[in-house]
Parts: sequence; C-alpha cells; structure tokens
Amino acid sequence: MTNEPVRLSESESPLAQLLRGAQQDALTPQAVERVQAGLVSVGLLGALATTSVTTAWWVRLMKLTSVKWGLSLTGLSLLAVGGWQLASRQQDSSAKPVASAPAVSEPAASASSASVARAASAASASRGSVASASSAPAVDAISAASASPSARRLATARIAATAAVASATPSQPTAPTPREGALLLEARRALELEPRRALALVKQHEREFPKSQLAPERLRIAAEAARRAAP
Amino acid sequence: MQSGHGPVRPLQISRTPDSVAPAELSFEQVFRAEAPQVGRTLRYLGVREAEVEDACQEVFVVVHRRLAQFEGGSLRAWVRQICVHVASNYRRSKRRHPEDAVAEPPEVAAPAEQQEAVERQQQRRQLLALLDQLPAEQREVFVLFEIEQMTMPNTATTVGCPLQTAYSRLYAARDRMQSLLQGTS
Repeated sequence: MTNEPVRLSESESPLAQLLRGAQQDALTPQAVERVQAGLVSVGLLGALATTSVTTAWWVRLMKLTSVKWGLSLTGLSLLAVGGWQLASRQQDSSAKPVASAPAVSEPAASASSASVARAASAASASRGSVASASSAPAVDAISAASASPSARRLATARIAATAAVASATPSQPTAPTPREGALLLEARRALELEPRRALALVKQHEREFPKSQLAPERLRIAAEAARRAAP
Repeated sequence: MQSGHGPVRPLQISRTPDSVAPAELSFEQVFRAEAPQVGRTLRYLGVREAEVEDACQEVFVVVHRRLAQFEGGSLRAWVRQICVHVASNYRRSKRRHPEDAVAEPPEVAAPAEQQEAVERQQQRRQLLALLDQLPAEQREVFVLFEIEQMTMPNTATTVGCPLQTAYSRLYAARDRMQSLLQGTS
C-alpha cells in the first residue's frame, strides 16, 4: 500500500501559506443563498425554499410581486366576468363563454406586450398550481409577440386571456423532474446571449412537460426571452 | 483477554469520515453539506469568478439527477468528480468564447479594517494565477489533493486515472508550482 505524501500546506514554504488560505476559502453564505435560489427557481429545492429562514431576498420579493399581480389580475377577471354577465342579461342573448377574454385584454392591450407577458407569468406564478395546459398557448403567444408588431395586439389578448383562465381554473400540475429542471435552467442561461434559443428550449419544455409545476418559471423565461428577442 | 470484561463488542468496520450510505442522503442534505466547498473547488479548478455560482448550480443539478445512482462511499469524492467535469466544460467554453464573461467581477473598495480580507483575496489571486499555468490534468490532481485534502486513491478515482499516474501528476504539479513561485518572487 502506498503511503500518502505529506501535503504541501503542512510545510513552511510560501506556497504552503497560499494553500492554507485556499483551504479556508469557500462560497460566502450570500453566494450559497443565490445558488439555492437558482435551484429553487428550477424546482430542485422547492421544499427547502419555502421552509428555510435564509431564503434569498429576491425569492421573497418575487413572491410579493407575484401576489400583487395575482390579486390585480384576479380582480380584473372578476370585473370582466361581472360585466359580461350584466351585458348578457341586458341583451338577453346567448353570449359565448370566451367573451370574458377580450374584456380582460382590452385594458391590457394598451400596455407593452412584454410587460403584459410578465404580468401574466407573475399572475400564474402566484397561483402555485398554474393551469399548465393553458400556459402552453401563453408561451406561443409570448413568442408571437416578439415576432412582429402586428401580432403583438392579438398575442397580448391571448396572454391576458390565458392569465385570466389560469387564475380562475387551477388544475393539477405534475411534480417537476430533474430533466425539466435542467431544461429550464439551460433556457435561463441562454436568455442573455441567445434569447431565441431560450425561447426554443422553453417551447421544448412546454411540449415535453405540458402540465409541469414549473409552468410559471417557463412563462417568466418565455416573457423575458421574447422581450430580449424582439427587434 | 476479553473474558471477565463483559460481552465482546462486535468489530466496528471503520469508515472514512465523509463516507455515506446512499440511503442516508437527501438532496437537501448534500446541498447544505457541500455547496460552500463546491464553490471553492470550482474556483481553483479554473472556473472564472463570475461564473462560479452558475457552475455551482450546474453541479447540483447533476447531483440531483444522479443522486439515485450514488453507490455509497465518499460523498465528497463523488461530488468532486462532478465538479471536475463541470469545471472542465467551463474551461472549454472559456477557450471557445473568451469574451463572453468578465473574468473577475469588479473590485469593491474595502475599508481599512478589512485588510485581512484584502490580503486573502490577493493570495487567492496569486494562487489562481499559478494554477492557471498548470496543465489541466495536473491542476485537477493538485487541487483535489492539496486544497481539497482528498486522499490520493480518491483523487485518482475522481480524475479517472491510475493511482501511480495521479502521483506523477501531483509531483509534476508541485515542481512546476514551486518553480513558478520562485520565478515570481
């Protein structure tokens, strides 16, 4: 059996001093929290994030923002449904069930598509159990919004409608798998330099995991990618 | 000799301090135990400072994916093996896209009472500059043995080479580091 060589750090050379310093080196607690928050955002550390006292500040901020957007969009959709019911009573006609979508999208249409997309994704995120099936067209809508200005108005309406549906009818999402986490992580990485690739990855995620719990994160990435990819 | 001193205790099989059975592990435990050190390993294996957190996250994505395949033994060595692969990918991408990221985040001016921290940072920079001049395979062995303080057999397993090769890489790296340091001082 070969004996272990003596480590350089146990000697008294200048190199030993550098090595002893390096052995004490480690990621700072703040950096660890940022990594943790990153893992939370791709669904690998969900339970830890919700129970940990040391959750990163931006995760808390994101939750607050999501709640705010969620409340405002729920309010909007309730108003829209109320208005639609009133109108249908007055007209005594057979109103179509999707009539609430334009009512929601009208005020939103004036805003930029990116901000609405962010709002839609934030609203979905606040739900916890996002209607995953309905989030799928939302990603398409977001990518359409980045494609041409003429498509933006229509896409905006679809996004807002999707958000309203998502907030109104939560479905049963499936637990995230490591693969889908990795897919979204890659998409998030690609955001800065290759937003179109990020969009493609998000679409792939949407195809492979239509009922994922990570649908809010997918929407967020899609919205950001669309914003960056827009000419 | 045992007679008259109570029942004979069963033989305890000694395990290394970081040796863990797979059933004892949860991803959260692995993350809490290893995350700070993983950052250090990646840094000294050549991942740029600006990318250490990203690389760290990538390591834990792989850990999460492969945790079920962990067959027991040294958890540190297993995680370091993943670090070696991730760092190798990052080094390759650095060669391909040298302009993609800032090598070092901008320095923040430190108050006088943080002199110690500043000195530590300078030492770290000096060591990284020396390590940058080693071939990748020597660097890996040197970092795992001298900084991560892994045993030589674990180091050899982690980098995927025979034990004797690991020894020769270590000695070559030491010689090179010593001569580089003498050259700079």
